[in-house]
Amino acid sequence: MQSRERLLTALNHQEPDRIPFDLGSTQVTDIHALAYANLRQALGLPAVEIHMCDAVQQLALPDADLIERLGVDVRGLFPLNSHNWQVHAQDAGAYWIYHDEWGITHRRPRPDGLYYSVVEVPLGSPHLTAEDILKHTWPNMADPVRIAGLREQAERYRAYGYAIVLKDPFAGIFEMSQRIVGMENIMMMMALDKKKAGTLFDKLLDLKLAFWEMALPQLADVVDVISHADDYGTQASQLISLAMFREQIKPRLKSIFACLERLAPHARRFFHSCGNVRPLIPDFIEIGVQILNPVHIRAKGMQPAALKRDFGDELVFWGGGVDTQAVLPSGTPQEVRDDVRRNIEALAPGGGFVFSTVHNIQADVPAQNMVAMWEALQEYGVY
Amino acid sequence: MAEPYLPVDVVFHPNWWQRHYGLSFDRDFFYDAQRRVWQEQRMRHLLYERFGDLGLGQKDAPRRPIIGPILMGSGYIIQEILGCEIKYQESGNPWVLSRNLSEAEIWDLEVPENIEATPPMRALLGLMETLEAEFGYLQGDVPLHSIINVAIDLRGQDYFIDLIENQALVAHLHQVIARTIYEVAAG
Repeated sequence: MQSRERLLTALNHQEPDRIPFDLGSTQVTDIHALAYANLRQALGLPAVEIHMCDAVQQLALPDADLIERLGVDVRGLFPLNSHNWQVHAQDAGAYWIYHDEWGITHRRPRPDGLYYSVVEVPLGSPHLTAEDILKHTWPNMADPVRIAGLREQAERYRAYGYAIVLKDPFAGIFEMSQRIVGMENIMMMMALDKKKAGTLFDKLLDLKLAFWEMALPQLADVVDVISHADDYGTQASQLISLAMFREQIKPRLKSIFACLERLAPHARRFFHSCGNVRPLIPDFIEIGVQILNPVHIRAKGMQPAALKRDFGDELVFWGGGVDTQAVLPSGTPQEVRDDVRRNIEALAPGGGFVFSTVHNIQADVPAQNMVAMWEALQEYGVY
Repeated sequence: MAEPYLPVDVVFHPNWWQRHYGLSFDRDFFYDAQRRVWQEQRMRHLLYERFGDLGLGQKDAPRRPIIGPILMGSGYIIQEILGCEIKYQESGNPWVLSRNLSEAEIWDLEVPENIEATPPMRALLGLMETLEAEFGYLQGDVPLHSIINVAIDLRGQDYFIDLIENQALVAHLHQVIARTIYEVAAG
C-alpha cells in the first residue's frame, strides 16, 4: 500500500496493511528542533540546517530523508502565518523578542530557550470595548500570498504517494482570543460580558472563514485532511463549562466545519484539543469533527480503550500513540515500547487510528526513546 | 523604644534544609514529638550558626514544644480531615492532593461528626498531649488555612466554573469547610 491509500483506508475505519504514521504534518503532531537533531543523529542521518514549520514552538519541518527512513505517511501544508512567516526576532539582551502580525509580543530566552511565550497581548486593557476590538488592525487572512506555492508542494507530495494535511491559518477562536486579550480577560468576558466576548469570537471566525474561502478553491482537490486546533481541556477537566462551550464556542466552531464541508467535501475534518475533552466529544461529532487529536491519554477521562469503545465508530483517533508527558521523556525504552503496544491494542483494531505521539515531541525526549517508539510501531503496528 | 525597622522573618524552603543539612520533612516531622522537638531546635541552631549575624536563629536554642508548620509555610490539616491525601515529602512542604470531587460528591460532603476522632486530629492531639506532658505548655499554632484554598483542594479546578455557574454548590462547599475550620478551632 502507498501512504495515501494507507491513510485513507484508516480514515474509512478499515484496517490497512499497517497503521499509518504521522510525524510533522501539523503543528500539533511534530517534533522540537533539538529532539529532531538528536533523532537524525540516532538514525545515522547527516546533520542538516533545520527548517522550522513553527518558529514560535521551534518545531522542525522533517526532511525528506527522515520521512522516508521512518515511513511517515503524511505530509503537511503550512499556510504562511505568524508562527512561520516574517518571524523577525530582535535581540533584547536576555531574550529574543518578536512582535507578530496580530500585535502579540513573544519572547524566547537567549541563548537557547526552547520556544517563544506570549508576554504582551494587543488588546489587554481592562477598559477594552467592542469598538476597540472591531477597530484593531487585524491580519489579512484572505491574502493569497498565504498559500503561495502550497498547491505545487501538494502535487509533489501526491506524486510521491503521500497523504496531505492542510493546516488552519491560526489557532482556534478560544485560544487565539487568549492571545489577543489575555487569558484572564477572555475568561472574565465569557462569564460577565458575553456580548463583548462574542464580538471578538466573531471577528476571529470571520478571519478564519475568509482564509478558507480564499484557500480551499485553490487547494481542496489536493488535500486529504484539513486540521483545525483549539484547546478546551486540561489534565483533569475543562477550561470552561460544557454550557459555556455550547453557548459561546460551539456555534462558531460549527460554522467553521460547515465551511470546510462545503468547500472541501472530500477532505476529512481533523480537530485538536489537548486535555480531557471527553464530555465535549459528542458535541464535536455533532458539528462535523471526524478526526480527534491529540488523544491526550494521560488526562482524566481519556483512556484509549474507553474512547475507542464509545466513539470509535464515529471518530478516527489521530494521536495517543505514546504518552508524551511521562513515558516518552522519562521512561525507559522498554516502558516506551510497552506504552506503544498498549495504545495500539486499544486504538488500532478495525482501523480508525493514525499513529502519532500525544502532541509534539518535546526537546528533552531522549533519542533512544524516539527510536524505541518507532521500533514498537513497526513491531505492533502491522495488521 | 521602638525598633527602627519592621521586624523581618525569613522562612527557608524544606528543599534548602534538605540540601544543606539533610533534614527531612516527612510525616514524623509533623507528628512525632521527639523528632519534632529535636529538629525544630536543630533548625534554629543551624540558622544561628549560618545567619546569626543577620539576626536569624537562636544561640544555644532550647528545646521547644512547637506544633504546626513552624519555620515553613504550609497548611494541610483541614484538607486531611475532609479526606484529601497528604503527600509528605523529604524536601518539600506537605503536598495536598486534590480530591477532584464530583458535583454529587460535593453535595454529599459533610462536616465530620467527630472531628477529634479523625486520623489527622488524633495524630495532632496525640502530639499535643505528649508535648504538654513533658513541657507543661505548647507553642505554635494549628494551620487552619483558608476556605478557598481548601475548596480548590476538594473540588479541583472545577471550583472556578462552579463560582460562575453553580453558586449553590459553592455555598454548600464553603459552609462545610467553614464549619470544619470552626470545629477544629473551637475544639
